[in-house]
Amino acid sequence: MTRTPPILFLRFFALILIAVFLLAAGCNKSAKPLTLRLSMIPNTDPGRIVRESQSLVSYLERETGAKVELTVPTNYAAVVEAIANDQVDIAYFGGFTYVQASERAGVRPLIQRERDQNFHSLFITQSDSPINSLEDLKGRTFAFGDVNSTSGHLMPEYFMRQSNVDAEVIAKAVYMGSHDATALAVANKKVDAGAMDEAIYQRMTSEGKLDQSKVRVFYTTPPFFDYVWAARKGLDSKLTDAFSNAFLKLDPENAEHEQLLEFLSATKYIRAEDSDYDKLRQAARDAGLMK
Amino acid sequence: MNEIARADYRGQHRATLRRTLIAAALVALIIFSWQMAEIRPAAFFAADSIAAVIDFLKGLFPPDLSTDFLRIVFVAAGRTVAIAIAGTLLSIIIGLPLGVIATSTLFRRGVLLAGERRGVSTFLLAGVSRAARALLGFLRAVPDLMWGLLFVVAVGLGSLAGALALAVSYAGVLGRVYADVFESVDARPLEALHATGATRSQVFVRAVWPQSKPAVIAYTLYSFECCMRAASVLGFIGAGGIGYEISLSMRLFRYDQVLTLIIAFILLLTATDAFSRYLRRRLRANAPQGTLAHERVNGLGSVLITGISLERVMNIAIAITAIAIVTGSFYASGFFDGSLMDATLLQRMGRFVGAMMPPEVSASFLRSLVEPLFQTIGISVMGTLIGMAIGALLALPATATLIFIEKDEAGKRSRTERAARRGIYTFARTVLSLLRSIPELVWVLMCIIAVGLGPFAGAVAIGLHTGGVLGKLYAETLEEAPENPLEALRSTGARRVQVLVWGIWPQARPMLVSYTVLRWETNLRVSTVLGLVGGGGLGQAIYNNIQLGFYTRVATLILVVYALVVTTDWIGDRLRERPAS
Repeated sequence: MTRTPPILFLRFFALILIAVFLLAAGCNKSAKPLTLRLSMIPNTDPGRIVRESQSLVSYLERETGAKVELTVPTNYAAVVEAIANDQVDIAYFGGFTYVQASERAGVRPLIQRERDQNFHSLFITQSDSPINSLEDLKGRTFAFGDVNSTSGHLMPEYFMRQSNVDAEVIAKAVYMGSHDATALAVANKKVDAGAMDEAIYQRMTSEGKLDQSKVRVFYTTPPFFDYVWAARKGLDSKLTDAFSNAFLKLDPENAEHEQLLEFLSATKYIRAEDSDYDKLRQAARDAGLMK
Repeated sequence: MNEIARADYRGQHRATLRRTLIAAALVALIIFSWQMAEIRPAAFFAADSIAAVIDFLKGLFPPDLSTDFLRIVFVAAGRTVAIAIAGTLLSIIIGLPLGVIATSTLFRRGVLLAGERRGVSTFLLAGVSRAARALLGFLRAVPDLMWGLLFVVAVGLGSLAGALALAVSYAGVLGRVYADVFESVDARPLEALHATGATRSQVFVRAVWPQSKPAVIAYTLYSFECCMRAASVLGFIGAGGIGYEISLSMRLFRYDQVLTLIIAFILLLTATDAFSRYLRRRLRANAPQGTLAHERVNGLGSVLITGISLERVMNIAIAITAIAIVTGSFYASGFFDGSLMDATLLQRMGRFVGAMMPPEVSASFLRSLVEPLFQTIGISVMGTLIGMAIGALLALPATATLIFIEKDEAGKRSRTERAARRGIYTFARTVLSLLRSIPELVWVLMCIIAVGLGPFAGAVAIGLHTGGVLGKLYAETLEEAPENPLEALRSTGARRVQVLVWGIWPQARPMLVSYTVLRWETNLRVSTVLGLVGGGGLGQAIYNNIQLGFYTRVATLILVVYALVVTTDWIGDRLRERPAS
């Protein structure tokens, strides 16, 4: 009777495991060079950020002198948790996720795009729809983006409440998970109306992903603060300064910078302040989205 | 005589009553589910839906086969395999000890405890054993994707979260199966060894393990296949691999990439199937015969006699390859950047669990769960019904014994008719295998395009996948119906339909019912996670509450899912024991 490979495999199981664990222990990296771990929530275009981020990474490595590791998660909560656990140094948050991270992990705001201080959500519906104002939403189906999105959920809901839109509309609303999905659901008449990020609306229409003959904007919210880069509690201020400066000095006149700005959908970066987000905090508490 | 007749009558009466009650309950359940799952068949035929589906289908072709993208697919597939292997191994490491402890014949009852004095330690051991079994049940009841979502938040995005999710989830499955296998072995060797004064561990190693080894290996291989499937979809919630790429490409409207990824996914599963079939065949061909002692002598003998034979070299080579693959898998799953030995990993998981305590039980929150709970049940019932319909429709042409002409008729039919029948059969089988090889979560994304977000998309998605699974099982059951009664029927001149109705159906019915009920139990689990990608139900509530950081609510939701799954399993067991006759 000979030993067969599968049984042998099992016999070797213990050996394999020992080898694996030893290797795992041995690979425990010691004294890494200075590393900056960035995380960028893909509000705009995850695939593009994942697949085209190299130029940003090398620019930041040059400017900060640190090795830059960029992760692009698809899950907001994971980033908040990671920055709270010191697993991420600097992250790109939406306004609402920033507020959550500042409450739970004490993150500090660094910089943001100029447009982020003056951001809007758009309410869209079909071109031939009878909806022309927030009041007309009564009895209609409505779509938000991700539950954690500032421009896709929190602020639209806030302004809907402010305008006394029928509570049923908000309670029955569906969460599409992303702005793109909201736009498409409206265009394909899966819902009567929806709220989304203005920047993404512009991109989708200009790229032809969204047929402008099918949808129209019927309401634009007042301005609010949105996306911001923020650092974890206790991160060396030399690193955060170098990081901020790298963004602040981006200049559209410079060819390399112009390409980066285009990738980030930005024209200019400015410093961000925590107090600018107080209104957003209140909105989140009022809507029961934050404790 | 009179007495018996009356009893008989009463029994019949009661049976009729029972049947009526069951039928009424079923009708009520279906109406209720129809409403909860927001079934709107008209949504399929709306012009916009059709246009959207056509757009989608057109977008699929031609698949993106550019070198750049193929590289992405290749890396993603590799990562999926790595997650599956690492997950399976970890699940064995966790599941096997738990399974041994949970084995009741070792710790709670049976020959080993027969003569023993019942002291405190016996009592304690029995308690630990029972606790292990309960733990396994819990690990198993919470769906793998839900574990994935929890680990993604607790340990960070990426393959590590995926591998850990599989490890925990399949440890529950394997541990339970192992315990069941250990319990079902022949008790006589145990008794004999016990009588010689062997300790419990000796009894296990010498009597229980040798008997259960083939079944343990077979189930472990099967679980590896399941892990591969699960690893592919775990990416949807951010755990890397093919699923992650599918969700990215879906968001980018790159349907041509979606098709490439789905093809890669199907190839991967086919390869896994083939691989584990190969292993199983080798295992069966070389199954150990005779006693343990005999085997040991033989093993020792072959080493002594042949020294280093070719076979041995081969085996060592295979072992080295296995070590390399496994090490590579752990490496690719992110275990080696210090995270496996990282003390903060446990600390982070502990912190996360701590943040979930105590589960929130405020009345207003519990009330808000009623609707998603009913929705989940509704989705699972409607999904199973849709699956039954699709399965039944495709099973008939996919049943070889029905569709092909009986031998004695061979000469009577024309060649074209035979070709047509072969064509129909192949078509039905292909559709069935396509339906079942695409996971429910991918179907949901496609159904959302057709009918919009919500429970209806979830129900249809479950229905499509279930249709593929049930269709195959139905067809196989029909094919395996014992031949003699059918032959008898045919000899009386019964036509094909009559053979089906009077010959095959009565013989196959118990199996058909049993498969369907089992599938419903699975579908309930699936419907709790569909919400993670937009299919409504409890999954949506879990996703939203995790995203908002309301972890105490997440804990409550997980307990609700656990209770729901346990209840369903219990109902399912009852239904299968006594199929409604």
